[in-house]
Parts: sequence; structure tokens; C-alpha cells
Amino acid sequence: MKLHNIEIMANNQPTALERLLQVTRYRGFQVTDLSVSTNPETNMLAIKMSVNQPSIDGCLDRNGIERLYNQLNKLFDIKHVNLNPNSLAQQQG
Amino acid sequence: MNDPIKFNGASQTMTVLQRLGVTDIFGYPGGAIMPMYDAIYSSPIKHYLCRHEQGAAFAAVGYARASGKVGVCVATSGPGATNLITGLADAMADSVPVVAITGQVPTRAMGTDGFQEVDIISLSLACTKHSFQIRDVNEIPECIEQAFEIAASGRPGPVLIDIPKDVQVAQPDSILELIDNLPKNLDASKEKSDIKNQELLSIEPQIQRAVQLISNANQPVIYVGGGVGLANAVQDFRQLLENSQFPCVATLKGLGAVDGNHPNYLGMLGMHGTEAANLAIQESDLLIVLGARFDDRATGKLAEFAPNAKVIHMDIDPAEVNKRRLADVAIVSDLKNTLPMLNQSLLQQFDKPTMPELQKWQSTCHQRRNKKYDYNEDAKKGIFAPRLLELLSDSISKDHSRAVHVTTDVGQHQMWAAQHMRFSQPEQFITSAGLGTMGFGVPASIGAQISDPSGLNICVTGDGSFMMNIQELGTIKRYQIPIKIVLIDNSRLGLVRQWQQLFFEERYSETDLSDNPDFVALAKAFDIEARMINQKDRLEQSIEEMLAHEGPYLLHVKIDAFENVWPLVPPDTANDEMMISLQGE
Repeated sequence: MKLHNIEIMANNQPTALERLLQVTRYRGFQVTDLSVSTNPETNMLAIKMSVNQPSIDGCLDRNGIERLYNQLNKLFDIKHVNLNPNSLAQQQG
Repeated sequence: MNDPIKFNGASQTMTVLQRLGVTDIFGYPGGAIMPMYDAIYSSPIKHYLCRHEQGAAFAAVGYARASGKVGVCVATSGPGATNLITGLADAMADSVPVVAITGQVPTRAMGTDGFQEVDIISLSLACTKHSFQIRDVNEIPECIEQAFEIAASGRPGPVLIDIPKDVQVAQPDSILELIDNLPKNLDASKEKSDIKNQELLSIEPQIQRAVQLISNANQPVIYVGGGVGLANAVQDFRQLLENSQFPCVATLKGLGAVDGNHPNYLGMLGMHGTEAANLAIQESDLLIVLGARFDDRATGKLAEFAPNAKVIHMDIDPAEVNKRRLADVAIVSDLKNTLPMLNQSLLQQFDKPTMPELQKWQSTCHQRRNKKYDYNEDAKKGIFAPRLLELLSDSISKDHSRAVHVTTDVGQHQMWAAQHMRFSQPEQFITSAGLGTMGFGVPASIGAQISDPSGLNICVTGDGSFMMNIQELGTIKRYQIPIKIVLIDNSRLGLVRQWQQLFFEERYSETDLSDNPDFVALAKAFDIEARMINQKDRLEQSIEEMLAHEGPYLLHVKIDAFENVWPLVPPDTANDEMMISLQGE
């Protein structure tokens, strides 16, 4: 298991959160913490999410978090994704 | 009686579609989409009634893949909408620009488990690029224009628009005129082009690194996928092929990007790929991967795929880079921009086709390419499907008077078509590659024909797949769509049966279809001319008769039930460990 913290800016659309959670679940990550707030000036959703990346057959897929990052980034309503600095660095190290 | 046109959300929707250049749509009416169908009644856009919403979705996919335009399908709420889902998933897997419009129960009824109510937005999220639900009639123009933009831009894909019935009948604040200019912001487009220029500047160092890898490679292979055709970059890719003279392999969706007869083309790679293609990949020291995504059917056992190769990966979708294979150089942008940059740099800096190592590599690849397999065809009593498809391919390649599109269904016939037919453009071969959807071939061929009424459209299908959207024969009859269906019938679910033979101790569980209906009688019931053949001496004549027939035609070809697709890379095996045939075959 490995914990990652992700910060996301998303359009304040009804499906944004559902889509985010769907991709996260399907890529095998478990949400352990989630907070969502709306910025009234920009009408954007600010999302903070902690996810656990489970090991498969005792191994941690080193590229798993990069894949999740890329696939979240690609969603239409998600405008910005920020991984905690440790996530990508540790994967690459 | 023609009532005056109602000005409401539904008519607004049709006007927007018309402004976006839509001329044909596919669909099926029902309760929650009735206001739209009322608007369709007086719209100049031609609506094609398919006989199942899945047929309508595949027709839209076929239309989009043959024409490069956005395909549009329409269905009602609940079951109508869920029946579209397979088509959307197919479009998602194969990056096809499709917009699906569904009716929804009225807003006030949503969430009450109303009649024909289903949360289609939620169901669609995993198989669309984006999904909209329009709750305010005034949002219709912007939403639909945005849906078309999303479907067609970047890596194309399907977009769903769900419109509750009350929104369809609501009066918008302003009536959209057909001649109104689209709300294009000139500053925004300038901004876009600035971003593009910046992006390309930032790519230049990657191009230089790619040129360096290419200059140092002794056994390079170009690996072409569907993205080259989608990017409209076939000419740029072919220039790369000519400039470099590197051997080239194609994925199922990349077929046609390189002319099937090109001397450096080694064929399709992967599970049913050629020996020449798979060995070249396995021995390669550099893969130049263009618009492809290292699909598992292409790579076989990933850990042993191209073990000594460095990878240059060029694709528009950043999520494909490093997804299954790490790239040494990743160039993430539109191939239409990046391939010319690579070509130019190579022209200036690369003069390798004459180097001895490369010549040796080319000659090894050529020898393998020209190796012929003896499948003992003469000893076979019945019709050999690969021979049938080669003859068909030869016949249609002689016809230069019209565009040709070949669709397939999924199974042995699909692999035989991929292996034994030759295509000169990627859009000529329309097959359900990523999702592998049986039932795709006939409705996709209908859509392709409607996109180009003068074209020649052939659907190569199997007896399992054909029955999966058999109701679309009704669509063929209704509009007299002159597609030619080549039904390769082994009375089996052939590919599953083959796997049962090879990997499940010949336990043929539920793959016997020897109680199939009389397909010729079935076609004739829909006024479709049809004939059955089971003798190989009648092959050429039967193909010519079919191609000469003006209207729709079914050629029912009976083949041996135990014919297999060769070569085959067994599951979870490296691509160089391919089975060429079974003993005794």
C-alpha cells in the first residue's frame, strides 16, 4: 500500500465528482480521505483527496500513480491535478 | 398535415445540428424523445430508422469512421439509452467521434424511478469522453457545439447529451437562426494557435532526441496504429517510411496506413500477426510508435515484448505514454504537426538507408516477409476463407471508380480479413478493434454506405456475429442500402471454438451453431438478393456476381467448422513464440 495526496481543480458540474471517483476506483485506488469545497469567485471545485494504491501480487505498480494522474488530467471537467511532491518523485526513484 | 414548426428545445437541437453541418442521423423513437422526433419530422436532416438502438449507434460509428465526420445517433430514455451503451463503448475504445442524444424523463420525474427512467449519465461515464445533461433549454446550442468539439478534437471519442422531455418542449429565450454565425471568439482562436506554437517549440528538443535514437539504431521498426489515420497524417507517415526505409508493422487499427503491398511493410503484429512482423518487433533495437497504445493483443506478454528496443512514442494522448511501455522519448502532440517536424529533422540530419547494419536488417525482414506458408489449401475439400478474402481483396482493389470500405464483425473472419485483405487507406478497413464487438459489421457498413452513397461497402461477417444485429437487415430493406455482405459460416463461434480446441482440451462448450437459420431465405425475406456457396470452384464467379449486383447482396459462404486462424500467439506468451499451425492441418 502507498498513500498519495492529490489536489484537483474541477468545473463545478454535477458529474465532475462522480467521474473523478469512477476513474480512481477503476484504476484500483481506494479513497481514504476526501474534501470538496466550492470557490464562489471562480465557481470551481477544489478537491483534496487521499488515495491508497494497493499492491498487486505483493508488488506496487511503479507507474500506477502516473497513470491515474494522466487519466484524471484527461477528464473534461478536471482542469488541474496536483500530486503531492513525493508521489511522482518516489515512483521514479 | 404539416403544422407550423414548433420553436422549442427540440427544434433548437435540430437547428444546431444543421448549423454544425450534420446531414444524416441514426436513431429510434420512443416516449421521452418524441419532441425531438417531431422536430426531425420537419428537419432537412435525414434520419435513418435503424431497428435497434445498438444498430443506430454502430451505424453512427461506421458513418464517422468512413467519412471522418462526427456520427450522430438518437434514442429514447431508459432501454433506448442503455442500448446505445455498447456502441459508445466501442467508439471509446476505437477513438471514434460520435455524439449520442438521448431523451430523458421530465426533470420533475427524474429520481422517482419513472417509466423508462434510467440514470444514463451515470451509466455512460465509463464509456464516453464526456457526458452532458441539459437542464436549461437555453444551454442547448452551447452544449451541443461543445459536444461536437469534444468528440472531434484531440483523441476523438463519443459524447452523450441527455435531454429531459420538458427541456425538449420548453421555449428558449431566443430562437436560433440557421444563418447566425457560430459564436466563435477570434481572440480565443488566436490564443489557441499561440498555445499550439508554444507546444511545438517545447517539442523540438524531443524531436532532436528522437533523431539521435534513430541515428544510433541498427534494427529499427516503425509501429503504426490507428492514430495516424485519425490525425489525417497518412501522407506524413508515408514520407517517414520513404525517407527512412525502415521496416514497418501495423496494429489492427493501423492497417491501411501503409499500403498493404509496400515492400517494407511486414504486416500486422500481435496475437494473429505475421511471423515477419512479430519477429522484427522482438529483435528490434528501436520502436518508432506512431498513434498506437501497446494494446495487449498487439504486445502479447508485455514483459517480454521487444525486450531490447528503445521506444519513441508519438501520440496525441498523454495518458497513453508510459501506460504499458515506458518511452525513451515521448512526443505528445498531434501527429499532423509532429510527423512533419520529425521528417524535416531526419532529412537534414539523417542519411542512413545506405549503412550496412541497416541494410542487413532490411534484408532479414524482407526475407521473412516473402516467406510463404503452405496451408495445404489444395488438400482442403471446401472453401478456404483466407483464399476467399484474397480473391475479394484483389477484385475490389481493381475498382478505382468508387471508394471502398470493408467492415467486419468479430472473430475468425475478422482476423482472416485483417491478415489476407490489402488496404490502401486506414478508413478502408472498419473493424471493432479495441472493444471487439460482435454485431458491429452490418450496421457499421450501413453507416459507411450512407456517408458515401456511391461507395462500395462490403461487410465481412461470421455466422455468430451476423445474428447479433440481424434486425438491421430491415434497415437495409427500408432504404435499399446496397451493401454486400460476405457471411463466412462455419456453424460455430469459431474463434472461441479454436481456443477451446487449443487451450481447453477440446471441450466445445456452447460454440456449436449448426442449427443456424437458412441465411439465404432469411436475406430474401428482407428482399436482399442472396446465394450460398460451398464449392471452391465457384468462388471467383460468386464474388464477381456479388460485386456486379446493384442492390444489397448476401454471399453466404459455408466453410469447414474446424478451420483455424494461423499464426497464433498463445495468451500470456511472448510474440516470438507463435504457433504456425497444428500438426495434420
